[in-house]
Amino acid sequence: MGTIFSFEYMIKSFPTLLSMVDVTILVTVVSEFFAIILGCIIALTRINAIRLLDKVCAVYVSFIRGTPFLVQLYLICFGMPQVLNYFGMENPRSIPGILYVFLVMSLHEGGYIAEIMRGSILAVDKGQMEAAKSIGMTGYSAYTRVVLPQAFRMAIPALGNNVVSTLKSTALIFNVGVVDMMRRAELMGSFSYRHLELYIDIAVIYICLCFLVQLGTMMLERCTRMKNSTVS
Amino acid sequence: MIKLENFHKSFGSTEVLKGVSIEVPTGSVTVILGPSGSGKTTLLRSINFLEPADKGTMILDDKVFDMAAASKKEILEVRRNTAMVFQNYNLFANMTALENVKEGLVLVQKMGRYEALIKAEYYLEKVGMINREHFYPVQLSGGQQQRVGIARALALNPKVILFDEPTSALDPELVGEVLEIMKKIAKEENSTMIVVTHEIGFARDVADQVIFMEGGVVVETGEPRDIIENPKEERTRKFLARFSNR
Ligand SMILES: Nc1ncnc2c1ncn2[C@@H]1O[C@H](COP(=O)(O)OP(=O)(O)OP(=O)(O)O)[C@@H](O)[C@H]1O
Ligand SMILES: [Mg+2]
Repeated sequence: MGTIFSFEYMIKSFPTLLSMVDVTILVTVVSEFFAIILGCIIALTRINAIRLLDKVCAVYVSFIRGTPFLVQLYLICFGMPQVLNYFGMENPRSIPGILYVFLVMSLHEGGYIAEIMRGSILAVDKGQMEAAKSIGMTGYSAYTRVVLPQAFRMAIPALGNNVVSTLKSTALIFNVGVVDMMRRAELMGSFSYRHLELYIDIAVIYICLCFLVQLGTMMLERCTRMKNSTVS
Repeated sequence: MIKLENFHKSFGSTEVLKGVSIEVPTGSVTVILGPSGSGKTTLLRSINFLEPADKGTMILDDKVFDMAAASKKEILEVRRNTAMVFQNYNLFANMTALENVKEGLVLVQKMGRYEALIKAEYYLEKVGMINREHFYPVQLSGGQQQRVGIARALALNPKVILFDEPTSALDPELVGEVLEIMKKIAKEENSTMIVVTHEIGFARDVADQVIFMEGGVVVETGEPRDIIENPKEERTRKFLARFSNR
């Protein structure tokens, strides 16, 4: 091992690591999709004070917010197979690890998005719901056609932040056996002993991804603001 | 015809409606007058269950509704046969003027897209808003928003349209345009209208019936000329005196 830092190795490794970025993106997109659905359901359950279920949701949200993500990851990925096994499933460890990861991340981000959406749904003027009801819309239509679109628009910056945080959390999933950039870097480093170069590559990839998400968020925000806004 | 019998409503321990009964014949305009806090808004909102009454019966044409025990289905039925024009317009902020009017036609009345478009444009034309049909609510003045609000209500061809102080949030110079539209539809559309307003002039010119409410009860009912020019009740006289002084 000659030089302290090999620029050449860093450049050379970059494409190899970047080739694993699809796992990161896939996990982010899939989990964020289910997390938004889950978050909306929880938010609506709490806002409409649906008996018992709203208490369950409140406990759920405080559990998600009150425990480290890594603990939740281990709980599901290592704990759940044990439970499935107990309930008679033959070989729960044969389920691909990435499916467990989809599950944990959706559950985790869903808890955060529930709070984001709750805030923004409550911020939609009450009169919007009343107007929808007054023309005979069902509660479901009133939410999907009138209240939620406005709530989402208000939530765009916060949801963007949430996507960024989901993205960054994906750096932990190699701990449960999913092969992503982090895992690849670990393997490559164990041969080359050039960890610094590899993790700088990874940091660069994450920075670029986060930047793209923030850019997308800003553009989305701008084009919805131009069209219309709730301030009247 | 819409008929309310013995409407009661309390918020906590304060009784806001203390047995209100009114009848509005089809195609007629009823104006409800009364001081602040007399329960006018609450009465209108109890008609379409935005604020369900504790007790009362409503007859809408030939259907009878027990207001305290209405099922979800009945509530929807009432809402689909009535429409409301709100004090602060409440246009759907995420939709253009045209979409605001079309929404109920397509989603609630299951009308075809094209048919709904034609109908929505017809009513926007009627309220003089066709040249702003693709504007969002924030891009419209209060008076323009309220005219769209009226078009949204009208387009549904409801059995009765409820107006809750439709001009009181407007700048004075915009009040006239909205009152004109309301006069016009009273004449041309033959809509059954219940209007809560402080515009005595509108009551005198347009109403077929004026109801004076105070403290959660109907104090006096009659033709506009009788109520406004020579009210029988002392309380009505006192209330109206405030307007003639201005
Ligand atoms: N949601 C509510 N909760 C508690 N009290 C209410 C509620 N809505 C109305 N009230 C009370 O009921 C009474 C009647 O109110 P309402 O709005 O029906 O009066 P109004 O005749 O429309 O008055 P205004 O001319 O000021 O609009 C008032 O004393 C008001 O404070
Ligand atoms: Mg009122």
